[in-house]
Amino acid sequence: MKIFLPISMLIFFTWGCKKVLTNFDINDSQPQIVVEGLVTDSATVHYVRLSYSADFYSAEKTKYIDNASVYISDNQGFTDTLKYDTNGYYRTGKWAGIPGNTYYLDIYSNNIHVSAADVMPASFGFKADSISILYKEKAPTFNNYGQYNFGNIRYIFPGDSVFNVQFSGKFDGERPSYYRADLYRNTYKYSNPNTFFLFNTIVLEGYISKIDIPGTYIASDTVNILIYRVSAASFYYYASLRQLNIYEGGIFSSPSGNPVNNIKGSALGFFEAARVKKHFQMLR
Amino acid sequence: MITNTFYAWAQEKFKISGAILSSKDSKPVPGAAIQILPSHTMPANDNGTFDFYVTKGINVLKISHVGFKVRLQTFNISQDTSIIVFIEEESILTNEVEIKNSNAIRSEDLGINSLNISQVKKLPSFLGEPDILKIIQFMPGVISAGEGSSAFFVRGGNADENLILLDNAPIYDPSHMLGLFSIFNADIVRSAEMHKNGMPSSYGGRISSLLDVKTNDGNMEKYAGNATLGLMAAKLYLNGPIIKNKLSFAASARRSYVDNLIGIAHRLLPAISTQNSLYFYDLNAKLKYNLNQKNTFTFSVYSGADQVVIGENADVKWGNSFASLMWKVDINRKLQMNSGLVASRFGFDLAFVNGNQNFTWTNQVNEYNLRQDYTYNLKSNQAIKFGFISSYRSISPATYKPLTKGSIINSVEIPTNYSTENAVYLSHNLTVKKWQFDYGFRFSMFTTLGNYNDIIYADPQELILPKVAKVNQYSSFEPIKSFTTPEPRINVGYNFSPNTALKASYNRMAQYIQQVISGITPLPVSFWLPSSTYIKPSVGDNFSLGFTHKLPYNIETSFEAFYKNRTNTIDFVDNAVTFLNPDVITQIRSGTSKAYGAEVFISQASEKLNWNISYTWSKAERNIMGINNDKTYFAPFDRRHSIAALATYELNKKWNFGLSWSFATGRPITLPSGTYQFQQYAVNYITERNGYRMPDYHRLDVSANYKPNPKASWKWYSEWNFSIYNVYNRFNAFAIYTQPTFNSNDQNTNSGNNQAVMLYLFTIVPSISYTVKF
Repeated sequence: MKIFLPISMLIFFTWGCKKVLTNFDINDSQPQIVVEGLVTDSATVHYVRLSYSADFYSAEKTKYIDNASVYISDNQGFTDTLKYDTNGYYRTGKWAGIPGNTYYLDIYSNNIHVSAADVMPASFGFKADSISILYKEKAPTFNNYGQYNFGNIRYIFPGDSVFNVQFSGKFDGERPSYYRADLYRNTYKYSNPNTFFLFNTIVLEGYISKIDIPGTYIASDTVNILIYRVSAASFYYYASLRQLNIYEGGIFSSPSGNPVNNIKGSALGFFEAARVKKHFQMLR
Repeated sequence: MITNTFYAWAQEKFKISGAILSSKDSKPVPGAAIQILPSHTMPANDNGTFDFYVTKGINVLKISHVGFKVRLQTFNISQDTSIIVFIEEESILTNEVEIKNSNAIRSEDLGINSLNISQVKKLPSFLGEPDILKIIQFMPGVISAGEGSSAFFVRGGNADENLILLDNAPIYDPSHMLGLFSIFNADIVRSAEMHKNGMPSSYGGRISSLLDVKTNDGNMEKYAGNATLGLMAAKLYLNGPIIKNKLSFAASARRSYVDNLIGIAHRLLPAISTQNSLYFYDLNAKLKYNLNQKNTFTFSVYSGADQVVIGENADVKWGNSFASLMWKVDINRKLQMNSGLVASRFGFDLAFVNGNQNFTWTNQVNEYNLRQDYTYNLKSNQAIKFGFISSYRSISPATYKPLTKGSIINSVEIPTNYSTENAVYLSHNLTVKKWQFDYGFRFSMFTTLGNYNDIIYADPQELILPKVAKVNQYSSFEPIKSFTTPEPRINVGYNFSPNTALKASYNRMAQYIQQVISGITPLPVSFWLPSSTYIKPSVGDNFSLGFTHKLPYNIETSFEAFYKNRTNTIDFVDNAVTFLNPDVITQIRSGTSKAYGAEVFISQASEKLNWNISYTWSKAERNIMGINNDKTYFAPFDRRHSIAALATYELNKKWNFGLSWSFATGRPITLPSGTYQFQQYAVNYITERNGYRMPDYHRLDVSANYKPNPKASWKWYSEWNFSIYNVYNRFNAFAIYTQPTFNSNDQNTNSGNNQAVMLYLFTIVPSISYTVKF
């Protein structure tokens, strides 16, 4: 838990100031294939998304790969050929991943073969038993307006009551186990990688009570939490993504680099096989 | 190192021998400088005696020493002569002896610089706190980590490769407030000497440099001291006799008071919480006891710490403490012994509370040393030194535990490791005609000990869930692994003339403990790891070649070139998990590093104006398998060019001024060359480590010191110090990072609006302090 990093930052940012460097020269780079894939134990349509990386200052939108051949199979002989949808998405048929199976991904694009494998955890190992709401404050009347803007349903106005949401649960499976969570306020996904919600049994143990989840909410919001039990490789991939995103230039943190992934064939991204449980709570 | 110069002239020569004594108490004045005008200079031995050869006829001797008036004595030599010379003490109002005609940074010898503390205090300082670690960064070949950092890098070596001693005690974290200030209170510091090209045979354990800091001995005659009030801290320094001419003390205290100002700030701006606190303190004390003319004891202690309190959530404390007992014996006229016993500690302690996510996090280093050093003066032109040092260390890298019973935090511990490090050495220095030789040999041995469970991994480079193949258990003091390293040290010099010398050196140094530093700047949580199954001792070979020349008008110049290579350099893999990771070994890779460069140093000292300028060109690279795609990359402290200038000017007895200017090309950083989208995130794509450079760094500081009543007859006098840090308000980059822009839904969508952002710490910072000296 990098508690000391914020303490260090507290001291330096007391004095520190920021300046955007408009003329900072950054080299161009060769486009790399980016793979993003998720298979879960939920009976649904799963996906793989393919795109290319771009130059740092590139003004172009993300370039998607729409002409690849994409296959998902498992160690029990199952195979599915994914069909291209839109915006780089390739979708499976509707089926549920089987816990304990190993899932393989094969991609053929422009004479390049990229592959990956991940093992879907056999058990879930965490039982969330409650989501509680904690009153935080009245939205302040100065300078933080818009700070709580999250989701397009409604802006938060000064004077609105805002809430934190907490959940509680218990680890009840084998150790170690690794988890990540996707958070939604109504239909919008909370997507700031500075606060990837990750937890595991290395740091936490037993019955965990009232863990704060990122985000702030108002009455009439619905909070959706998807908790994924993931492999250790997936957990460390997301942890590295978070570290990459908060990299402050190497003063206090270890050197930054591309996260270690499970893709073979010089591609970026990750192919994940995970178990998922969904929880939701309406704030009244 | 003996700097005696011995010339074999064709003329008839006679021996002159004797002693330099104080006129006050007839005691020997060790180390007094004896100059045979116009140019030959040598120091008196540690017991104030000397002998050398001079030509027949009229000879003028000039004898000088800190705290004494210069004495000129003329002799007409026609046979071997024995003399006694008495020199008179200068009037000392305070314990501070001002050395004029001397720069803040002096070049003592090849690769050796020292600080003149009285001149250092005249130089500009950040928030009015003279800081020797900041001034050291102006030495040629010494690189700073950056703005607001006390970490320094010597000739391409890492921050943990510098052995920092305070009264012979090793200091593991010499900084306060994460590097804004150092632990060295300039009021009590007597001397600071930096050996950049390795160190003498009597020292070891670090590859790059030795910074040897000594505190003042108390005045044996009268009481003196000073009190200072500055913007950041208040200080008090006292010294004097306990038993006249027998037992003296020196003590200092310093405490910052930012935390006290928070209360005042809260009344002006209630949003500032009074529950936050931030302060540091230092306490130094020293006793010196002259048992008799031959036996002297000194006992020095230090305690200092930082504390940060953030509301009710966090309470962090870290600091150093040590006790050092030294015994100096003049066994006879030729043989001297120094014995020392040292206990030193660094500790870090964090308590964090956030509901049921509460924990404590600690780390600690304890070291105990016993050493004995002998100096045998064979003749005036040669001496033999020998001795040993034995150290015992316990290092607890990280212990992370629940604070209360209901905490959901799991315990994580990087186990405590124990080790001994022993060394014996022998050296000989000799001056023959125009040649000077100082060569020696050090043999060091390092052993890790139980109580310890030595983990053997199936694959020690597995980053995710490394599998443990077996665990070897060792009981207390049972040897686990031993390493030995022979360390030759050779320095050779040739004096073309009294003003011109050429010198070369080679030193091999072994380092058995390395600091796990995540970034470029060590933090209090940065811990030390011993050599072990997976981390081998790092061994460095340092070469240097230098040329010194004195010009008229007291201008000194020197040029030095150096080359250094090091085996078993460690570095982290990308995005390494370093905090609280019991398998942190798996995040480390080792390889080789090398550094080379050249330094030019010019200085002039005079009655009123003292200045020096240095320029360093250097390059530092690493080659470590598993990092940067196995390709060579720049070390994080590599700076191609650096320039440093210092100057002090004494306008009159009331006013003196100081100036410092530094320039350095930017250090390497890792930045992305591309970007890609993963889920809704815009992610940086990195192509190489340390492939970019920060903007160049330069900064001008000025100071003015004012003594309203400088007359020596007053029992006390006051002094004002005015400083301006960063006079032309340059925004020097502290860090550069990249960030995407976020849309109104707090989502970044790789929209092509990526930015490089610079973080800078300080703009123009004026300061003022007031000192009373008595």
